[in-house]
Amino acid sequence: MNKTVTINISGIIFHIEEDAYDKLSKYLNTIKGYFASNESGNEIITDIEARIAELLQAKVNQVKQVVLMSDVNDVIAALGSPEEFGIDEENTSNKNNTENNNANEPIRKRIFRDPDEKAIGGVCSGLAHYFDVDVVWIRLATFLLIFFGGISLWVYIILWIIIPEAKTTADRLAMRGEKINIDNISKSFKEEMSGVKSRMEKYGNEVNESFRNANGSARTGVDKLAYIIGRIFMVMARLIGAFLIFIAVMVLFGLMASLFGFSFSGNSAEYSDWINIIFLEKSHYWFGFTGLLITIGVPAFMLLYGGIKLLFKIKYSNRWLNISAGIIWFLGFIMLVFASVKTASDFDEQGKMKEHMEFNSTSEFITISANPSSVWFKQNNVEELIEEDEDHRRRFDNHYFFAKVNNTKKLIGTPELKIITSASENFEVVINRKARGGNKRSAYERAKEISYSFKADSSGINLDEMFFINENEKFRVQELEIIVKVPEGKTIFLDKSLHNIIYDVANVTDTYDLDMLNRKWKMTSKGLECIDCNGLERNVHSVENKEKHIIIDEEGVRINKKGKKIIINEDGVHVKEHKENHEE
Amino acid sequence: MNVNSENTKAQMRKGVLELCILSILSQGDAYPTEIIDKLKETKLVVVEGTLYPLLTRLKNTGLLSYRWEESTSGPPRKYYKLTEIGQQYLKELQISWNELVVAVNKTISNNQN
Repeated sequence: MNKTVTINISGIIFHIEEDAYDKLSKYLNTIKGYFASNESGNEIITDIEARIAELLQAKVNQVKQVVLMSDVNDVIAALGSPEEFGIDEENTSNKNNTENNNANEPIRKRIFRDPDEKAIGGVCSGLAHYFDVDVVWIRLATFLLIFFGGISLWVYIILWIIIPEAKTTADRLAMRGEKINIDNISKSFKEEMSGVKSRMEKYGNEVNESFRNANGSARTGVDKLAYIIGRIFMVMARLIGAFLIFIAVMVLFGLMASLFGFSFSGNSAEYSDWINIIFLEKSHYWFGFTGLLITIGVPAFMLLYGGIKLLFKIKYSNRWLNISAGIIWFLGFIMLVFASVKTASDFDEQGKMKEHMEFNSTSEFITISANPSSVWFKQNNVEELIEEDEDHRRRFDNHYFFAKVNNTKKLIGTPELKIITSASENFEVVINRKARGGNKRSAYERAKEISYSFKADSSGINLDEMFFINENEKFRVQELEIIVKVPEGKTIFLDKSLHNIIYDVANVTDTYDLDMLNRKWKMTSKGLECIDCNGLERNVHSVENKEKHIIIDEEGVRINKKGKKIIINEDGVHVKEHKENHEE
Repeated sequence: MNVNSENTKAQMRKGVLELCILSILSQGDAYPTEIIDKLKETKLVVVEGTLYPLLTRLKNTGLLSYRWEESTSGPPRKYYKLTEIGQQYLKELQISWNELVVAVNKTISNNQN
């Protein structure tokens, strides 16, 4: 008993034994392969199928209904093998085309690690094969990049992970296959486009010619279209891949530069000082640091991985890698969140300690001055300032910095001075110490630890320009606010030395803080009013006044007045007489 | 290289196959099976498969045209017909064939002497 298959050749139905069917379909496939690249291939095959149908029809009758193996053999013998079909000129060239096409398909180049020429993982030799360059150059570039570029090591490891090793002969052939570059891609793309065009035209013709023909070429037409779309996606994928690699490399590079650059740069002392003083425990810093590295680094790493996979059309995906990357990222994220929450929660609440002093001064007029930092440093045994540059040190303006005091490092801050109306008959000084902490109590305790001093007597108030945050304290935005309350009708003189601490003092004329200095101010019911500003322009600090008597710009200060010229610049102070007025 | 007389014979047959097909069609329209049958009588065709690519090529170059005809006993038949160009082409081929036969015969008989 034999199984039979029902087939349809050229619209005629045949019952055919299974093994005979296999042989016949193999034979037809051989012919199809042979004529695949012939423009009229489909037509020829249709004609041959019609002939096969005719021949097979002669083999069956009412009694013998099934096509047997011997019948198929007879048909094949009659038609001959494709090689015997004749080698006229056209067919010869077609055959060559066929060979070329066949040759193109399997030897499409793919990237593999070369186990035969490997130094470490075979990545360089694989790349060398892929880009058709001598491996020496790739190795040299890799070596240089690892030692001078920093991130190449990562790239190497990723490539090692994702590029498969060439294990079989086919892999090795594909590894050394035709060079893949933009030229070849666009070439094969153009070939495909023209191929589709002619096929489409032919398809159109054949629709008119025969319904049966149309079926066949519609299938190939659609296949070809799908292939073209595939090709376009392939090129797009490569571009996207290259873009992803670019982004990932940038991110990784930035990450390395910012994280490692910080901790290993020249200011490492200050950086680690800040770490000690901000984080509750050193471990929190390392949790946060590692967490940040992972939360940014792992996605960048995967971006790099995906980009390389797209660029080199590597299809195999490493489940293990994906899963572990996900887990590592999640752990890193948790570490980051943990460190952030732990640290941030210690900044939750603000505490304020108020120190109030009222001094019974009969005087109508007092001077408010600052104890300048240079003096203050000496009084407090400040040995050395730890600060990134001079400019920063000059502008103490709401800025914290470290100083070495008695061989320990202390954080120093600058207070803010405000002047308001006193409710009483007396001058008052209020010192508000502020700090943050996990709760009100700890914040208050911390605020209490701010050490600050000032002197007040009947002649005036002398305020320290700096305050200390004690060495065992964490940095929790310690702030110091000095409020001087002036009773109505009394006058103050604001000394020049206040320039670092005076902060947004309200006055009747809306004079800018620094312009208020070196002047006498009387507290009125409306607020502070200047009593010795008459005749003097307020806008000393503006770059130019209308008459250009005083010019302040990058070159220095130039004052022109009644033929005298005063120039203050880097070279010092010069006084000149105008020559046209005073010939000497 | 192998000395293979079969191969040479096949080449010779193929050379004149085109001429024979055109000649058969000049006597009237035919579908491939009829052409094959006639060619088989004269042992010009060894395997039938040879015919189909050749017919398609002649049709594509405009020497032949075809029409479909329903068949009572099998699949529809593709009847080939010689076009005007084909007839012209056949005449030229016949002339050069006759010349060739004379030339070849002369060469062969000269050598035999």
